[in-house]
Amino acid sequence: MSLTVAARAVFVRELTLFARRKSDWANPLVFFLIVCSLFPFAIGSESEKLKLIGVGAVFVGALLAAMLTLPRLFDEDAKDGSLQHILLSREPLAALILARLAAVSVALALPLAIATPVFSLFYALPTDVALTLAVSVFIAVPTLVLIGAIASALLVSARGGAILTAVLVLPLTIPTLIFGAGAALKVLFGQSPAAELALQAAYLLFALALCPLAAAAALRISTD
Amino acid sequence: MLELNKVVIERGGRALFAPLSFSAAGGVLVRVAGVNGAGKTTLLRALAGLTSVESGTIHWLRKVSPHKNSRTSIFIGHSNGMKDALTARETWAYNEGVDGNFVTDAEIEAALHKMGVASLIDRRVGTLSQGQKKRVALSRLFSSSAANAAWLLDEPFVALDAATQILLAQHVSAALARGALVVLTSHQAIDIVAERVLEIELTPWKRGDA
Repeated sequence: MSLTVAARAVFVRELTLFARRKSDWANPLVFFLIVCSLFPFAIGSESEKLKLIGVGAVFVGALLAAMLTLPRLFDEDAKDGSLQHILLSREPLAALILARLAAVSVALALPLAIATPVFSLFYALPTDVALTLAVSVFIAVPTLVLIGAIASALLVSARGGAILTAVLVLPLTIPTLIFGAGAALKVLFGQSPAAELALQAAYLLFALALCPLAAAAALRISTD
Repeated sequence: MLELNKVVIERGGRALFAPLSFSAAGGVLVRVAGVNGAGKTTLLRALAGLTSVESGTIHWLRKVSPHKNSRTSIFIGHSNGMKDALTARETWAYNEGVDGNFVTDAEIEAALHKMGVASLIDRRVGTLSQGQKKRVALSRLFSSSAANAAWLLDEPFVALDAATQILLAQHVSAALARGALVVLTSHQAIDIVAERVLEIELTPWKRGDA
């Protein structure tokens, strides 16, 4: 029972923080908009070419936008001292981290997934393709957050942590990138995206099982 | 009961103080003294379990508590560990909640009231002064979970006004009389009533010194 109390406390606090500090989720959204709106200018208005590139561009844009918040997953808490509360808790650290990442995932993935079909308009993507893309972004962002948590935990209070986090995390997100963009491309060519989405979801489950444990261990090491 | 056996803590490859051994039972006030940089904060963090020791052992032996959920120690450090965007009430609920304790609003109000900051309960922490923040952080010592724990207080009197310093000193004295173990670092000479006081002086040390 006390674990549910603890996990709930962590989850509620994180969402409250996101609700109070709107820039935490609005900044990634603005960044996403900028990336998506720049490509069409560079590529030109040829609609077939735009469609093909659009799928990848929107997806990569969403991933990079989500990446913006990773460095401060634990860093800010380490600086203001509030990290000690979860480190000193009697509840398992991995479970608390999972609760926290769940809140971050919700706060990031929802706005980005909702924006995806809208920003897809820049590329004249058909509605079904845009919606598939939204689903795959919704799966990809939590995957990225989970993987990013390990890097972020390892690099707590390290200087230049932001760029190192990106270097560590991006290679590991390639599977979700391939399957996610692949799902939308399948729809674009009139096929079913089920296989790609299933694989993408499997990768998310894999990350879900391993990343909180790894992040907890990393956090113990780096805050020692 | 707290027992330290030849504890050495390193920071940046350098031992902070000479190997430290002492033991203290409940009701003892352990005053940790030393110049700036002597390792007082690090020692307290190690006692709380936030920092690992290089060699030696730290043992917390405690009586079987009637409260299953009582924790060994409560650590209140320099950084108050509060988010500017949250209110005092939310901070409190989080700090206790993350430990698995469910706190009622009445308990939060009572604790804040005792530190004289009940009126700030729904103010965001970011709008409080340093002293007010410190008071909110220290009000945790009035929680029910603090009643059965050892207290690790790192410079608790800093930023507090004179009246609140006395209030806190009285609360610490009462806890000591109740049989709690308190480890305290402070540069201020504040009167705390304790039957038994253990003075620990941290002295700089280099490996190889006899």
